[in-house]
Formats: sequence, structure tokens, C-alpha cells
Amino acid sequence: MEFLDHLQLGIETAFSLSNLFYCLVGVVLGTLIGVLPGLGPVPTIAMLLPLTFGLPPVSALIMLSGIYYGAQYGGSTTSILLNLPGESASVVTVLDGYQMARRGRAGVALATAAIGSFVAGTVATLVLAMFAPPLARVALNFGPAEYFSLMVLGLIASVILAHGPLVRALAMIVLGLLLGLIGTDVTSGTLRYTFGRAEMADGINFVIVAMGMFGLGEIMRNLESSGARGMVVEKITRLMPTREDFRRMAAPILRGTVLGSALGILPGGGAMLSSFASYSLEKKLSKHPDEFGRGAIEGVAAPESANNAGAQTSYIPMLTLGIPSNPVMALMIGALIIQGIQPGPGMITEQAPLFWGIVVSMWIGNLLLLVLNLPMVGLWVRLLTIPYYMLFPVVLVISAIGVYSLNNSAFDVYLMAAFCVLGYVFSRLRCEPAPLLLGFVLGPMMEEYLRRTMLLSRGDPLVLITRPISAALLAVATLGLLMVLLPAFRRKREQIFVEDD
Amino acid sequence: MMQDNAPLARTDRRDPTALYSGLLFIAFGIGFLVIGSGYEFGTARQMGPGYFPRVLSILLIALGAIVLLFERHAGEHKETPVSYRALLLIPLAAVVFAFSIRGAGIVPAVFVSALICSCASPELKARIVVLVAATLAVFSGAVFVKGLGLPIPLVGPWLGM
Repeated sequence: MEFLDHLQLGIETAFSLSNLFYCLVGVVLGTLIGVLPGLGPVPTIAMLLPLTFGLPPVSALIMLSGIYYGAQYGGSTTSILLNLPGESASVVTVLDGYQMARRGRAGVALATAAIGSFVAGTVATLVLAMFAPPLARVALNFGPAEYFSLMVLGLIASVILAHGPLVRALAMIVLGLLLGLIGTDVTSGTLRYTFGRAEMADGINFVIVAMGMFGLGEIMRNLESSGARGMVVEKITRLMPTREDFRRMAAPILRGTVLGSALGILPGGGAMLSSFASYSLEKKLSKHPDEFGRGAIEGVAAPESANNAGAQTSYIPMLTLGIPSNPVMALMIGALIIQGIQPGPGMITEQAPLFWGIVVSMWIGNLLLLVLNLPMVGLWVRLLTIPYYMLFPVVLVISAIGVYSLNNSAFDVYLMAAFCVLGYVFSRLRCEPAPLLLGFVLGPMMEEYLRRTMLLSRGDPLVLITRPISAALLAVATLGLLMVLLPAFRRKREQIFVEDD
Repeated sequence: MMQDNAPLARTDRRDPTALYSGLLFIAFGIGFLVIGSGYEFGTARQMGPGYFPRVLSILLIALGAIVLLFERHAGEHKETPVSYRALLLIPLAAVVFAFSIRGAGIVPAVFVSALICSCASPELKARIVVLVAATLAVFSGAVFVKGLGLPIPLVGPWLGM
């Protein structure tokens, strides 16, 4: 049984004392920061990334993954108790979770979210373990043309499934690709767009872009609407759901898990889309849809399961193809590259302990969250009462120190300030910064694959559509774009994301 | 957002964000194109360092033009007022940090930049702000320099140490 051998390897790696410790640190830090409103997984991971530079790759990735689902879990806690999503994937949890809390069922809502997340996490871990290796085997046959087309598809899908005006998102991708090209061209050694600064010769570190646009940019967006935070935290009385609750949450958890796992694999999918889609699905399937928005337990169970499942299966394209499907995965790729590992189809075999260790640690992380968080809910609640004006200076200082410590360079911190302004201006202009970050990470890789493709084909770009796999990938991308241009689909796409208005 | 079959009256509502974002994309595109024109273009078979940047710059200009010309209907989206105080003070705090970290050392640099950025919040309480900044300064010194061993002085040469 090859599968069991792999799992055993993963268990050996993930259950080592130090890795268990980093997993624990990751989920606790993640929950801690996820609970604080206004700090989602992206700035959290970006902020804590420098802490992992000194760790071995497996431990670093295990800790970062722990932060990711910890932050998601923390986000659902604020949604339920404060009517405030801690991060985008728990926006829909607010709708019914907070209503449940207002009816004195805060504890049950939290327990439902925890149970749903755990079930979904367990299933998604198995999906990851089963689907990643065969996908990687297929990808091993990919040439540069296929990779280039795959990246085009990934980038296009990420904007189709996101929200906001489409053409602007496409432009943000292209701008990200261009910014990613800054630095020394690997083939010719030419310095590009460095303005003669030696600090730019190696390109701009993606941590700077992520911290500036997400970490600091988020602070500025939060300060726009400060004062609106309700500080009334609902009392938590009983945690255990009743038998009736269990009966009602079972099917939504399973449907949410399946939907989330499927959407997470798609490039551009992931936690946020999964939670929105599964909420809509439950509302449609429910016999009493009028209860939704007024404290229906299904409205907490389904999206919380879906976002956790989606978060985990979004590792599949990252680990097997080296393609990030969302900004969190872009950060993970960045972390791997800093560790000297190029994510791609070869990773599963060449770095088997790393891959299987991460997979198994996900399940451990979910278990830790379930065991830790329900008893510790009182502590998290107290954290919620920290006012924002005490929080954001902490974020700013830690980000600045983190960026400075990348190269001991003040210039990097100036750049972060510039990206912070740029990110804020763009988000005011309804241009989401996420596609820019994806483009930024993929830019140099795309150029390299295109260059090799053209070299092999003697300058004939048609090779991209004469090779069948490449052609199919590009066809799917084109089809996706055409579909978004159809008015009916466009309305649907907008509807999914306006559920909270 | 864009809506094709919205009532005619709505089409008059221009979306100002489309205008500005379109112009911004075009400006970036032109910037990258102009600077990139100095790099060798090469041929399709042997792409030079200028090939991919130039293709992308032109694509960016084209997309900017589409945004500018065609995305003009304002949809319903929430508009909160811009906090100019945050827009100025948050980047300023980062710049002050970068400027002073080497000369002043981590404790003073963190203290001052935390003070500056705290002023971005409308709910300002002087006592608490100073307390937070001081705690953060001590914490950063203890954790990052003493604990993690970052090569930054606690208090730098500017302050005579």
C-alpha cells in the first residue's frame, strides 16, 4: 500500500516533537491574530514569516499552515461573537452566527463552527493526500508550454472567481507581472527597472509587497470606518449542541465539505468563495429558507466547513504545480523559495517527508484547534475587547521590523511604505490587490517558461495551441473569460458576493 | 458594478473610480514601456530582456484604456470617506522607522513610529498611546534584539551610545 507508506512517512515527520510544537505555535498564533478584527490570514502570515526563516523547511511550512487555519478559525469566532468577520472567508458566518449569539446560543454556534471545521479538515486532508500525487505525476510530463498556459489559466481563474470589476482585476495581474520582473534578468543579466539602486538588483521581495498592500493597507481601510465596532460581547453559556442541532448540522457540514473541497482545488478558489457558495446552496436547499439570517444553524455549519475544506484543498495546486491559487498560497510559495525549495510536481517525490509531513500536520492542526479553542474561548473573548487603536501600532511596528530584518535594509521599509500607499489607492479605486500579488509571484516564472517555449518552437507562438494539454488549458481560460462577459453569468457572479448587504 | 441592462437613467452615473484607475494603469504601462525600451528586445525565438516587459506594458495600457472608456457605470458599492490622516501617518510612521532604525536604535525608532501611527486613529487617548508605544519599544528590543538576535542596536549612535 503506497498510500499507507506515505502516510506513515508523514506521521513520522509531523509527530516529531519539534514539529508538533511548531504546529501548536502556529495554530495558537494564528487564532490569536485571527481573533483580532482587521487582521486576516495574509497580513498575519506575512508578519510572522520572518520568524520562520531560521527553521527547517518542514517546520516553517507546518507553522505557517497552522497560522493559516488558526487565523480562519479565529475569524469565525469574531464573526459569531462580535458581528465582525475577522477575515473575508468568515463574512457569511456573521449572518447567522451573530444571530445565534444574540439568542443566547453563542456557545452552540462556536461549537458548530469547530465541529464543522474539524470534519471538513479531516476530509480535505484525505482529498489532498489522494489527489495530489496523481496530479503531480501528470504534471511531470508538462513542458514549458503547458506551464505557461497553466499559469495563464490560474491567473484568469483567480479573477473570474473573485469579486470586483473584471477588467481592473486583469490589469492588476498584468501590473503585478511587470512588478515581478524588476531586478536582474536571469538569462541576460540585464538589470531591469532598478533605477540604479543596488537594493533592487535581486528584485523586490514579495514579503514587502504583501506587508505593504495587505498588512498596512488593511490598517488604512480599517481606520476609515473606526468607531463602528460594537463592543458588546455576548455571554457564552452552553457549548454543547443539542441532538436536534446535530441532526440539522450533519448534512450541511457534509455538503459544505464536498463543495469546499472542490472549489478549493480550482485556481482562484479557496476559502472565501467556498463559504459564499455553500451558504447560497444551503439557503436554496433548506425547507425553511426564511430562517437564514435569523440564526439558522445550517448557516454556520455549511460555510465554516466549506471554508476550511477549501483552505486545505487550495494547497493541491500549490504543492503539485507550484501555482498559487490565492494570496495565502502565494505567500507559502514565497516561503518555500526562501527555504531554497522550488514548489512543483517534483516536490512530492524529491521532498517526500516535507510534502507528507505538511499533509499530516494539517490534520493535527485541526485536531489541536478543536481541542484548544473551545476550552479557551473565554480567553479569545477577552482579546476581542482590545481596542483597535492599541492594535494597529503593533501591526505596523512588527511589519516594519520584519521587513527591515529581511536584508537589514532601510530601503525595503521605504518600499513597503510605497506599496502601502499604492495598495490603498488601488483599493479605493475598486482594484483588488490580491491579483497583483499573484501576478507578482508568477511574473518571473511566466517569462522563463515563455522564453523556453519559444526557444523550443523556434519562435513559433502557435505551439501554445498545437500542443493538446496547453491548448486545453488556454481554451478553458478563454471560455471562463467569455462566460464572465455574458450578462447572465456576470449577475450571478456578483450575486454570490453581495449576500451580506 | 457594470450592468448592461440597467435602466437608461442609471447609465448617466459615471463611475469616477474607473476614470482614475484607468489613467493610473495607463500611466504605469507607459512608465514601464518607456523605461523598458532601453532593454534589448530580441526576437520571438530568443526573447531579450525587453521582450516580455514590452508586451506586458502594451497589454496594461490596453486594459487601462478599456477601463477608462467602457467601465463607466457606477454600481452600488459602499463608500466610506477617505481617512487622510491615516493615508499620511501610516506610511510616515514606516518612513520614520526606516530612517531612524540604524542611527537611533530599535527602542527609540519603535517608540517614535508607534506614536506617529497611533495619531492616525480618530479615537486618540494620549496616555494610552504613550503607554502602548513604550511597551512596544521595550518589547521589540527584548524580543527581536535580545531574543531573536537581530543585528540592530538597542539605542544607536545618534543618542551618543
